[in-house]
Amino acid sequence: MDDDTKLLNLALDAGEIMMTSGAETYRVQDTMLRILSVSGRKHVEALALSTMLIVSLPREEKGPLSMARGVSDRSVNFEKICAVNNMSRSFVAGKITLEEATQKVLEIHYAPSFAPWQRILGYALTSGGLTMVYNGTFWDGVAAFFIGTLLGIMTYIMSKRKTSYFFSSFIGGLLTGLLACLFHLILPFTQIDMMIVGSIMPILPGITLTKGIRDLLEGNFISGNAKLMEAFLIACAIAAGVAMALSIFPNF
Amino acid sequence: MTDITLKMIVFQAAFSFVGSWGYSIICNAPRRELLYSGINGFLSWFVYMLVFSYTESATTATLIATMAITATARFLSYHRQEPSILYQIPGVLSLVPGAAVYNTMQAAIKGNILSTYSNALTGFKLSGAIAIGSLIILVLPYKAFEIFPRFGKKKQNN
Repeated sequence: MDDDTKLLNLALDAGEIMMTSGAETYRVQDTMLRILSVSGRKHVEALALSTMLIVSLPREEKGPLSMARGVSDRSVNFEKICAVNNMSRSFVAGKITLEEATQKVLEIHYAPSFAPWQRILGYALTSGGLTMVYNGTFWDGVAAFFIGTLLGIMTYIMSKRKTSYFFSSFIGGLLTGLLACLFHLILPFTQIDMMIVGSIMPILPGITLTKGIRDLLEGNFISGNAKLMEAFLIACAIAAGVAMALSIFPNF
Repeated sequence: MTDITLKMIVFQAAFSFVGSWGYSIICNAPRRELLYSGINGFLSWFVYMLVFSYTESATTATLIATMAITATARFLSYHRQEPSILYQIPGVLSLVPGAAVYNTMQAAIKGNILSTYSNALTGFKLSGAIAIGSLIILVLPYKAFEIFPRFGKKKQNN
């Protein structure tokens, strides 16, 4: 491989990691453009659409070079976004060479994350804390803490088996609704709506929705529309799950 | 909601801190940044409730709280040399209209079409407020957040 191909590969790898880690569209494009600008050529182009990345490098002597890559996996991982950002900055500043940067991207791809029990604790804290924020009582908060724990365990199992996002959201909503109804049966003074609203918070696509609207306002219409659609489908799946649970217990 | 006291606001905002802390663990934020994400979560609910107690309008409160968080996030992003999304997303979490989604779903189960539409529109209005509030701050130039000298860690060149 010549240096141009390696450079394009580096830009695509960096863009793919950022895209799957939930970075904003403009940041992905910006990072890829910055990496490509190292080549010193004019009119380089980097595009990030909702599920694909395209980079191209016009070369006068050997003919233009262009590469594309599909991105299907998506999650949220801030650590990787920060790492790629730092890597691209020091690469553009000339502190690391192309080979070192490629090696670095590979390391970032396999970077360790929080242990499963820590992430499950994160779900529990988010559910419990937000139930208390929305004016829930102490026992609502405790119940939501337990619901959040089980939700975290479920999400962990689902992500291990690579279930489709629609199905896992549906099961998440169903589980939340069923557990909230059960808690209400055992402890009649807890409020079902408080527990459900707080507990679905960590799986709700509020961030995707907000990012989608922001993409639209910035003029990235394709990724904006795709994100809006994704957020809408996930919200529908969660609502369908909760609705099914609530119709199993029709008295509430 | 007439009896909003400062004590209650701080109490709820403290739990917003806990929620944002937990959410940044889910989002796998770097360990040294967890505290700052939590502080942003505290701030979001604090500003939201302060504005809400004056104006009684959830949309205005969401808009102003989002602007406050985004400004803080960009400020922290300059001082800590990390992307601002790291502080903004956990901060904005407690403003996400989850209650609107729940109310929409419940109205749909009960067959109340009018209530379904009005709740869905409320949800869209609130998320629009979040998007516009963050955009208003994001279009400001980067220089606007460099008013203080840097604190905290130095830039890592790894």
